[in-house]
Amino acid sequence: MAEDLGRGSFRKSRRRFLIASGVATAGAGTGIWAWPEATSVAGQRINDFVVVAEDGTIEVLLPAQDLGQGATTVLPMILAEEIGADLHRLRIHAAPRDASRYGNPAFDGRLVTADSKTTSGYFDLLRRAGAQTRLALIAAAASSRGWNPADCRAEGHAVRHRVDQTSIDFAAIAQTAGSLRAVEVGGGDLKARRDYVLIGSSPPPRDLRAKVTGAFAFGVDRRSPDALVAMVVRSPHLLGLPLEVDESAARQVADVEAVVRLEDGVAVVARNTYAARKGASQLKVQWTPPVAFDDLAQAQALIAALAGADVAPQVVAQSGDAAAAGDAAIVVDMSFTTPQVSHLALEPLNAEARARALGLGVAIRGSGQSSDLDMRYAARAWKTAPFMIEIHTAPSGGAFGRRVLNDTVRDAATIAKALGKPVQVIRPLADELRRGQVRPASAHRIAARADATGRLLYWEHTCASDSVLARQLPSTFEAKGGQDNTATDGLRHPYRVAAGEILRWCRHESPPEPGFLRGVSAGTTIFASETVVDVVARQAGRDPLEWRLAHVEAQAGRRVLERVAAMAHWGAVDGARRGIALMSFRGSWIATVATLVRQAGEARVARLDIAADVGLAIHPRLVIGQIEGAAMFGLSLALFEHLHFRDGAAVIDGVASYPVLRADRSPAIQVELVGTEQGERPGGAGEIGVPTVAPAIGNALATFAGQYQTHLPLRLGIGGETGRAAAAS
Amino acid sequence: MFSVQFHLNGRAVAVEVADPELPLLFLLREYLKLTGTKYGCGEGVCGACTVHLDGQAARSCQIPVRALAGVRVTTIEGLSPAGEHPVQRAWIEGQVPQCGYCQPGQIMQAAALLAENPRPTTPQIAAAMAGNLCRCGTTPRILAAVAAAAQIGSTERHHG
Ligand code: FES
Ligand code: FES
Repeated sequence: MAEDLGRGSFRKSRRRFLIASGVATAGAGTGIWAWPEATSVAGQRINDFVVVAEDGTIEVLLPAQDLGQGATTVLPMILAEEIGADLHRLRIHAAPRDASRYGNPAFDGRLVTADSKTTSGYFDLLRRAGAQTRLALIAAAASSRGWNPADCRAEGHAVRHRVDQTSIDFAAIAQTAGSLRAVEVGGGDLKARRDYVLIGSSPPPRDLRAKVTGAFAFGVDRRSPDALVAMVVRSPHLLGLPLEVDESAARQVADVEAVVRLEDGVAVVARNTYAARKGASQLKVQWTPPVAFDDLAQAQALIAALAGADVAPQVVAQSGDAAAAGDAAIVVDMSFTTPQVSHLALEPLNAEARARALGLGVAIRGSGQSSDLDMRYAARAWKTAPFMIEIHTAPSGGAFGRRVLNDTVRDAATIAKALGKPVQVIRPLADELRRGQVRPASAHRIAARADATGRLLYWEHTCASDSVLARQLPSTFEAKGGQDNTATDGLRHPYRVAAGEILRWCRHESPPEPGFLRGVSAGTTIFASETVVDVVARQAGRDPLEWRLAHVEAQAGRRVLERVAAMAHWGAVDGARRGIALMSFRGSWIATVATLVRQAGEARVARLDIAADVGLAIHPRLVIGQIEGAAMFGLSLALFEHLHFRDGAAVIDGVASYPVLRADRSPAIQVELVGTEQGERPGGAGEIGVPTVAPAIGNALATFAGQYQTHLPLRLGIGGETGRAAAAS
Repeated sequence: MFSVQFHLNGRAVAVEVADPELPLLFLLREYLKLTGTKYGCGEGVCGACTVHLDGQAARSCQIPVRALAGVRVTTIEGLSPAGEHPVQRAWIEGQVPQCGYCQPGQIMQAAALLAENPRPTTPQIAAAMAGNLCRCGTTPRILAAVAAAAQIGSTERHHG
């Protein structure tokens, strides 16, 4: 109940307080029911995010998780900038699971690290917390020296007097108990953009060294010495349930301790991973019969759903009037489909569960993105109240949205409760491919009209897909009035439409379990819309870059287009083919040019050029890394990934059945940030690199083939057999 | 019980296990508590578990303990005592890791490549690293860092 201790229990002066901790030392669980429950932070508390230790260390309570995106570097930088602190003298602790104080304001106040919203969501909170800390330090220093606070500033972890040029280190200030008093801060107390020294620089990310020496420990690495390992065998068929189980051979395996039947699977519990895996392979289970489901039926059902076969389409946005478009010289009507794809995070999904509070509650430790949602899984499985749950989140070996809904927490809690022993559940990558979460398949239809010059008059985009929110978080879905932004993100395009437009979504339920995947629906909607605008431009005989520039009003949109065109030598006559795509997403802008060359009857993606405006880049090198990495992810989705289904099951023999991008197919890539000097606030950066890659490549491919492809993944063959659908003209 | 003796990070070790088919990956992680070698696919497909056997890169999830007799095994923990191998320095300089999960395997793969071929061409680097998946998309930085490590290595050979 560490989180309850934290709340409202702070006294005014120096004291120690407890926080539920994800950074408590691993391996301390020697007693069967013991877990390092909390870590204490000593010092003077300034606010929810900052405690100043006696030695001047700034103790930071960090509400976001390390997924590799740099949250443990970037958020502390915002604080350190405002405080005037030395980044090396910050110590990071996991914040308690208290959404009222630590929830992300940009994420309905939830404790979720996802949706590219961490930096932008916490920016203001952390600036204020930092400014409050700085003012407290300055006031204390001034009063001890008889200075006028107005003559002081904080920099380099010290308060400096402008006139007599002497300074006092934060340690000297913090030594006096009760010296620091938090005062209200207003907008005028925040540091001015032009005075930033740390923000905009790229210091070595936290844990960089540990990540190259193997010392950095992830969730699977942190199993307690007394915990058992469990692997859950599920039917290879979607929705399959166990009927008969013959566990005798599994139990024969050395070090296998137990076999536990779950509602939808069978768990083999062992003393080590190898035995659990071997035991799982020895289980003989008879499953319920397969459901009829395959790729083709799925695509057909989605196309039918577009026409309202399942539910009436939901209008996401509408403006103007179709009739006002009149007789259009250019009419484009295209349909697109995209398949299910998987996250394939390299670290297997994992969670360890351990009874606490005499078995009335449970503590969970695993690689995760949301302590809120982990808690929900645990509370439901343990059949207990939220305050009886403790969540210790470990760093993730890749997340990409998959660990927002970490269902191994449910498995671990169920098995640990059944056995009365601590258990870590590990889900092998191949099992996740077979029965895990997918980005739902989708279908799109876009009807666009333009005049003879290509001026866009009318735009109608209808998409169909399953709904992650409706399936996974029905109460949220209901609270949002039956809307699912993760199914409609990216429907809004940035172009001026003269007469009218309508954007719609149709929900089509489908057997694979839907999940959030980096870029969510923008990974499919942008493929469709950026292809269609290219078709419109070409039909009007216009250059696709020039057409986009003519249709985008936002300065930022024009800037990224112009920049990327220069980077990629747009228009060069050099035998290479170029395709472009533009997007505004998560408060940022991005334009991508794919450059393709012909090689042995195939097109090869030779390079990707990307210009992005993410507003203020706190740590530009990390931001560029995020965009680069997301573009590689987008490239993999564009060219390779398709989770096939046949006869109600994923067509997966092993991880090798799901091809992804590898180093020998990686193109050269260049990412540049524009507008960051003027940027006052950070926009989203984690996902924006994904969606524009597929249409940029598709648009380049069309210049070889004369036809635009309408299905992902794209085919690179350019020897006659190409795009299956041409634009209607 | 099956017993085997080999060299691990420069030290002679003798281990006894119940099952000689136990993959080296799990021997390292769960018996010897060296968790720097990562468990990814467990199928020889991702490269996260890469170690050196007698100096050559190998997928430890595919190596049974019975095959280890007399072999020199090097893991990420033993690559360089202070984490200062040229590959590690290039990785730090290039700020390569994101989540970091694939990186020990990538680094071991790169170190084995450079030991065998100190001046690889760009296509040789890409080919050598193609079996090591990075789902965070650090591949462009990895490829650049391998080239940088080759530079560091050759400068050091010339100066000392
Ligand atoms: S874990 Fe060995 S290759 Fe993937
Ligand atoms: S850094 Fe995350 S998988 Fe490579």
